[in-house]
Amino acid sequence: MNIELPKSRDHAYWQLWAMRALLVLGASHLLAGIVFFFAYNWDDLSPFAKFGLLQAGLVVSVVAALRLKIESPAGQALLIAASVFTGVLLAVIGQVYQTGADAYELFTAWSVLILPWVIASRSSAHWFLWIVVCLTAFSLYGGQVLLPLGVLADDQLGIAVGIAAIVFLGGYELAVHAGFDWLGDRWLRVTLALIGVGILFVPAMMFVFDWHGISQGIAAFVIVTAALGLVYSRLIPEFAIIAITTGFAAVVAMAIGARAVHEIIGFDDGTTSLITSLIVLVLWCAMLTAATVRLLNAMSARMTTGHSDD
Amino acid sequence: MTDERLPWYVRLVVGVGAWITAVVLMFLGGAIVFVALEFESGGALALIGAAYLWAGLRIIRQQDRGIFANQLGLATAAAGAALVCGGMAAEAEEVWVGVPIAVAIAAVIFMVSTNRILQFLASALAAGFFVATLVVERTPYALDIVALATPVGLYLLLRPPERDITPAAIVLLLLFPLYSTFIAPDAYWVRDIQMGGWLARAIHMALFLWLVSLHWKQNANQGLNQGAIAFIVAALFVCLLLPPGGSAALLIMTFAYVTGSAPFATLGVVLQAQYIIRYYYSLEMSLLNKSFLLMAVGAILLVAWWLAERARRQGAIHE
Repeated sequence: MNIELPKSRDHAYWQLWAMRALLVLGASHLLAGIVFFFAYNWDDLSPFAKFGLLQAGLVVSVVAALRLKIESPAGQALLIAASVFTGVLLAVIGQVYQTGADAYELFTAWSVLILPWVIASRSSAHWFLWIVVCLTAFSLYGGQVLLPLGVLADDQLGIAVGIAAIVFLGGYELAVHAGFDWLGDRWLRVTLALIGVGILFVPAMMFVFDWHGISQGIAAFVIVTAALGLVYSRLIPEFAIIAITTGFAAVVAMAIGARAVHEIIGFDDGTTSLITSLIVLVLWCAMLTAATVRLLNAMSARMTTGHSDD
Repeated sequence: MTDERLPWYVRLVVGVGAWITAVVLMFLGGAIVFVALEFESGGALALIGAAYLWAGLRIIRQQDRGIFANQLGLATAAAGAALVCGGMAAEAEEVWVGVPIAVAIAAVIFMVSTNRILQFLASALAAGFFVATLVVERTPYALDIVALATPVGLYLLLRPPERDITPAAIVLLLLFPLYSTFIAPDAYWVRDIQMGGWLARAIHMALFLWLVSLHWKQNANQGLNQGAIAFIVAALFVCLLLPPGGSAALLIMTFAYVTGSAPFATLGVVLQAQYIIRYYYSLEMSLLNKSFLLMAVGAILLVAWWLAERARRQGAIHE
């Protein structure tokens, strides 16, 4: 059995990738296990033991990070571990003392307490964790405070969270532009764009299909996708974000087509209208997919991203 | 100009567009059969599907087709394949009937078309019918049965036959991780069914060793250092400890490493993250036991990382 592996593989890059992947996998499994352990709320473990274990873990992580140098991959992983320990510690305080605090307070406190470590670690993965904690805190605050008070409606909250993710993306770009090169990992940029557009996609679709949606949903989606398209095609060439925004926009356009066909011809006004509507919709969807291919082909040819995507 | 030269994530976007169009086309086929012609028959649906498939393939095979015709042909053929399989399965009132038909249609599509998105959708359809059969029939040892697809997919990707069947190989490779992460955990409510998993673990261990041996055979000059041995031992332990869904994602990451494939690396990372999140809700063991298992796996991987890192530093000093 003669099998030849690809020879064009960049050995040094993949060696580094494998070491990073091994560290990330080890740390993530260990931390997930710790989160699972305290989520179980084991009765046989006294509150003193729970606090002791978590605080010991926290202290050991920070001290070890300082000893191993914070900028090293191991130091960064240890500071991320310290951040996770902090969140679990706050959750256990809630479990033991039954403080009655809302979940958003836990996440807000968590995001504030770990911020110094996030700044010190100079790690894009740590910043990503912090952004996820912040977005969760904001989303929970909306759900537990703003919605009951009637300040926001359901889909307005979705819009606000989606825009918040895009604001973080803007902050990321400004930081990279200001010279924070260590933050310049491409995956963080693409992931933030995916999260932001993905969240905004929901209220946009709710409006299109009239699931109690509001017009701000579609407006926010259009403005954000257009802005991302403009920025990442002209100012900061990033083809992956162009593909993401174009893909989501095409699906929303397909939904708008379905709604328009429903309003103009109708799917439930007899056999002829049903079949006519479906034929029109098929042509519309095929045309949009073709337009997507044409647009992405043109953009791909025009943009020089400077890296291999395939 | 076609979509074949674009990066993988663009082909994904185009594939989603084609899939949505195909779904609408399937509704159209259903409307023609059930509403316009008033045939309450799966056979009629299959007939319409066959017409779709023929028309779609005909459009795709035209040399001077434009992008619009290409997308319409792709969606029509995909919808046709699904309607034929679904229609025949409905006519027979047995889901498994769709499996051989979907496989046969996929084979035809591979023979007459080079469109990779259509090939992928046709392969995924066959895989979908296969998994649906396992679920509907409540087949024991389903995990082990599905795991048999992994070595086939891996082999076809590493040693592609003369006729390019990469899309089918990708479907085969991804079938087990997707099944074990998204479908199998929800089947555990059927307590009287043995889902298996040990054969799947053994397959993953064997494949892992195979990939590593290929890698070292090709990079013989690097030797098998202490770090590499630690890595192999750790990976084997992880395959043994983790439920097979977790080790499947690790296997994909190993494949990405030895072949230098960024898409598979991304996919492996996403699948592993999904796996851990969904594992929290799985009912196969208590949260406490799951926590011990994950901590043990994490500790083993970290020790392997530490040994590998130490070996790398020592190697750098010697050089």
